[in-house]
Amino acid sequence: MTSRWMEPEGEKFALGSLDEQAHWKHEYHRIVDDVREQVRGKGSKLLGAERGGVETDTVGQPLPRNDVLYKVRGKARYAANIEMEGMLHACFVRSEHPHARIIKVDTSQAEKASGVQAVITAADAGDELIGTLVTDTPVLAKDRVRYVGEAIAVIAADTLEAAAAACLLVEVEYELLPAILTPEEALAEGATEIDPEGNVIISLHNERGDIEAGLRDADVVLESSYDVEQIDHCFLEPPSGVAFIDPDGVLTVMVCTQYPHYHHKQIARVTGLPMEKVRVVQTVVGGAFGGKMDNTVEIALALLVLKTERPVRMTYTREEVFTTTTKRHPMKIRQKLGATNDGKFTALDVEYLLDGGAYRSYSITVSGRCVIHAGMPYLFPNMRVDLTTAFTNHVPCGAMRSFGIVKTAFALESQINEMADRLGISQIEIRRRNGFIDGDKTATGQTLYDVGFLKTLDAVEPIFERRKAELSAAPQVAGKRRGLGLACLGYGIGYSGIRNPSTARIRVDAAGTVTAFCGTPDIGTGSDMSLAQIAAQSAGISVNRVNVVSGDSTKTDDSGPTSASRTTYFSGNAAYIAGQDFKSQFEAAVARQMDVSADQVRLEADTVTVRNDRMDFADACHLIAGETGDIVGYGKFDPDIEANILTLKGNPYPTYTYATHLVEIEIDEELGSVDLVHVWAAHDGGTIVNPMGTEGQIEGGVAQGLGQAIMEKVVRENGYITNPHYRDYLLPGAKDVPLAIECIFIDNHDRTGPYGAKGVAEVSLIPIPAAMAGAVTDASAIRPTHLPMESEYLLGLIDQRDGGAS
Amino acid sequence: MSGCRFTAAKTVAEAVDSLVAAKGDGHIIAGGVALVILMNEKLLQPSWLIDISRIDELKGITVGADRTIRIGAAVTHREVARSSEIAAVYPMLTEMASEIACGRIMNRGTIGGNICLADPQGDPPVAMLALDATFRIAGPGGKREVPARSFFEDLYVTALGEDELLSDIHIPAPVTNTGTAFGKFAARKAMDYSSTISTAVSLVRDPNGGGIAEIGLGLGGCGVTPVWPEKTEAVLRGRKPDDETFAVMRATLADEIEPIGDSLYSADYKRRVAGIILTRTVKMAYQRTEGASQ
Amino acid sequence: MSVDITLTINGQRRALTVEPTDTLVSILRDRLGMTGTHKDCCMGICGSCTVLVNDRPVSSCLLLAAQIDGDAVRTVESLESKGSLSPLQEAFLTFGAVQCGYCTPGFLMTATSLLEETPSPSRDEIVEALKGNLCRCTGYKKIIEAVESVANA
Repeated sequence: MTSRWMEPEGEKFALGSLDEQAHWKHEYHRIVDDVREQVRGKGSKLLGAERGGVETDTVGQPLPRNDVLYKVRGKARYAANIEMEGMLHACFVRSEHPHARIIKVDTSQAEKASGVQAVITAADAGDELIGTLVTDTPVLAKDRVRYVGEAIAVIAADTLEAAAAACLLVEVEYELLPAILTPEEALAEGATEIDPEGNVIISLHNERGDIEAGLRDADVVLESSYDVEQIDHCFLEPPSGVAFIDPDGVLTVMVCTQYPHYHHKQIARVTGLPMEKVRVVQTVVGGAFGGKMDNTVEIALALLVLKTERPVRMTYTREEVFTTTTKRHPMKIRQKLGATNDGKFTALDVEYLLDGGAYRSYSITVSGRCVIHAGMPYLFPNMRVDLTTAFTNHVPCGAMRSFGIVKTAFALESQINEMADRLGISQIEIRRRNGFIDGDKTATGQTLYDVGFLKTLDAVEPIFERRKAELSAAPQVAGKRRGLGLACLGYGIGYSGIRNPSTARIRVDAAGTVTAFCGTPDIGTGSDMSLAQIAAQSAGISVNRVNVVSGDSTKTDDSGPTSASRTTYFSGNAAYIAGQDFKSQFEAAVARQMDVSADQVRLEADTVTVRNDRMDFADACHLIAGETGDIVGYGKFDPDIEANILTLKGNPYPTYTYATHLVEIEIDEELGSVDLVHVWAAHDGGTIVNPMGTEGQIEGGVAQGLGQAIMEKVVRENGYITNPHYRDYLLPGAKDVPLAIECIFIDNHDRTGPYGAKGVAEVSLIPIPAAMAGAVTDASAIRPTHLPMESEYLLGLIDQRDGGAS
Repeated sequence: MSGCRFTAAKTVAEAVDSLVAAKGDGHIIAGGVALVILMNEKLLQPSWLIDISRIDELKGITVGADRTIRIGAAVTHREVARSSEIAAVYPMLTEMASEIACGRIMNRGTIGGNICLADPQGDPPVAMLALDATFRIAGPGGKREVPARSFFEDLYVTALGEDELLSDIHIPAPVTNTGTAFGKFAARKAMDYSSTISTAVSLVRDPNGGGIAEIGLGLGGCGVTPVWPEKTEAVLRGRKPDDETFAVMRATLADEIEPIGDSLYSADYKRRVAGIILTRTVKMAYQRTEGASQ
Repeated sequence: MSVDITLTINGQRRALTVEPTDTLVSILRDRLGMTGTHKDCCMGICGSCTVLVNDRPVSSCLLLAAQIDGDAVRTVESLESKGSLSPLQEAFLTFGAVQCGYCTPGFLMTATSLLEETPSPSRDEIVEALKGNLCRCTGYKKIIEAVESVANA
């Protein structure tokens, strides 16, 4: 049995005939060339004049992405679009209680139901536990359920209706256990234990200098508490996958994941199949933001395919996404900030308490990152940081854009603004006096380099001053006030404190088609395009020749997930190294054919120059046709990253990205409602590989920050999520997000990044809630300490300000 | 096999006959935007769908020479929003219809369907209450009329019998010196489906002295049904729209309504917001009366 | 009880037998294999299922096919012609208006309808027309700029 969806290498998108595919590739290249013609001569100033060769000056150009052509045609291969002959449909049976022992699972009625082909419970799933960082999660709940929605069984049937109907026939007998609903309850004496190892997922402590002395030396110490409610990724494509056994007997799972290699290993381990008999292929991902790394449909599909020997497809409903996929950690923060009268920071003393939900997922990474980033991007000579993440009987909390830093920044930046106001120093100046510069050491003892943070402040300052003056001169509209707010970020690129290498391979065939195999998949951010640009630039060929194959666990090395803003830097570096290797191998092959020495051959700008003769790259490929199969440029990027997560000392990231955001809001003081009016976002991402793609990421991040700031929250009552719909979980729409978002890329070059790039992707949401809170303070003299800043909450603060409710 | 029967009714009589034959198990469907959500959520598995979306008698907007308005129950929100005739008589109706959810819902959702759903947050009922509209209802016994102000009985319960359907809406003509306005509060700027507060005002200004001669109000999101706040109307009648009046209005309103607290807003906050939005909407309506000064 | 209907889908007349409870989105995706129209919330809020019926955008997840017998349906697959993208599709490409792409067909159909009705909409009119389509990736700015570029062409 074959599938029309198993296209040739490099093609992620389901299309008609090969002729059609060729036609649309040609159309895409025409469009790209049009764009390059428009920017020709402008090139990329960041590469410098000595680079020349505008045709391959692709790094720094705002090129449209290769996959978008299929997306606008409605031909992109999302997993839910895949149809296979004889395909079954599956759905889960899920726990109805937040904490209970499972006494019995009776599937007898379900098994007899019309159309049902397989019913799988924990008994069939084996005893292997699964998990991303720690394997602590059963494939299907066996003796206990720890949250409402935990999977207990999975059913495959001829139709989705039949599967859903059969799920209702599964009878589960529970013995209820006390449900732990908050971290405080989890940590209380005598609390019911959720996990065999107790109720603490992780506890971390870090220190620098002498915190007591630091607090004493301060002229002003501010102390505040902050809390942030849970939010959801809300990627628009629900998790979805199709699995089947291919003609070679390989169990193939096509799924919208950020990390195919992880699922490949896990499926092999759980099913007992050898690695060569498993393949995981990433489908086109309709958004992820950290929520498509953990297991959702992958293992269930594998087990069902093995049992039924038929293809199986499963797609979550939107309600299921809200109620069962990993979420952001709700967090409480208690923070003390000390500074001298001239605005120098002396102390930061902070406690973080996180709700990790029922299983560990990425809690350890989130927790580690929060502690490492405490105080960033400022130099605090004295620090104490304590963090505890506890289990609760809720949906597990995992990775979500910025791994907790949007929350820690909310507290830190808010308190810095308060300190500036208290000391009578500008909010820019106080940051300038304490912000990281080259040579500073972080709280883990890492020495920083190529720090562009102060440049981001410099970029925003004149705008801040100008707008402040304009607003004070502007007439007041009754009941409405405008305010300006500022917040910053410093963010480590890559996985915290562990080596996370990336590799790339670049291969050419006799016809001149170049394929770049990059492990980290594109989850909709356009990383495939950035990698193609870097690979092409490095190899000296036209970007139109490069097909990127990513996200196939059998065709690329495990380069880690697309996460933690690591793709441009890690995979980009790997692609750069592979490009250099490719170029030298190619030049050497041409030299052999032409009987000259290799240093007389140059591949640049898609042209091969041998002494004074020039030939097109494609012609050169013909020339060395016998050898093209052997030319595989290889790049591995594995920077020295090491930090001891228990002592929190070392170099947890190879490089850091920084930004300053300025926002303008308008608040209606009678209602407490806030509009975001204007955003200025100055980012230090080093060289920007694709400015259009990066702007898009920043604008999207601003929208997500806006959502977290004023309207998003997962409402939980007694362990149940009570707003699992877009009706009651509010996402910003086109009228809520301002068009006035201006991106400023400051001039910086990271000496270790590919062409000087660092990566920007996920960070742009980090400063928004704090900046908006600061703008609210500016407008109305109230200090929000809670997210989301809903209108009733702000009105309450306004009432307090005015001495009681009106 | 869905086991569901489908009747594409061509006349009101046919629709009523189907309702009667269905003996309480029939569901009228017009735009479907409310009903199909229930079906998608498996909260409703209909056994007989009676489609009234193409019945001519239920369509059309007529504005008489006397400026009375008749709107067919199956008229879409978009048709109401685009009607220049309605805009010329009651700008508030145009505003209300234009702000419903978003274009997709406006293109299918009908004014009659929305009214019969009687969602406490729905906007058309709010406008109907302010305008003192009359609903014409068709049933096996013929047609009868129910004032909008008596139509909404309880949460999703109206005066419609199980074999009746709403056939058209009649709105009285505005008298001289009428101004109307519609105001809404929601947590985001479109697709507001939860925890919204809406207010509709139809006001007549007394040309002698500038007081509020007559007032009609409607409120959404302030109770289990769309609310007609009679007492609040009463305190406004005969008064000038000054700060003191509005303070009394808000106090009366706070007492009169019983909003339901939810996970977004408390009942007290909703009370307060209703007062503020109503104040703004009354002011707007007043400014729109012909010849109103400032 | 099944119902026989005829729909003109992307210019082609199709005779179909449907269940009264079949939604248009399920007919398009599951029956006809036209998976360019997406599905997410199934309550008419996200807009990823937007198609045009008689040139107007609707939520195909809330539309019973039986109710639109004889009507014309247009989906994202109808936008290209003779192997070329429409100006709007090309603008989405060159303006960076697409990231993950899940909301894209819905935006394209809504914007197509807008531009047919109002060939030169103002920025406010564009935002108003698109206010009901959710996007989680782009922040909307490049989508609006892409539509504007075609509007002002």
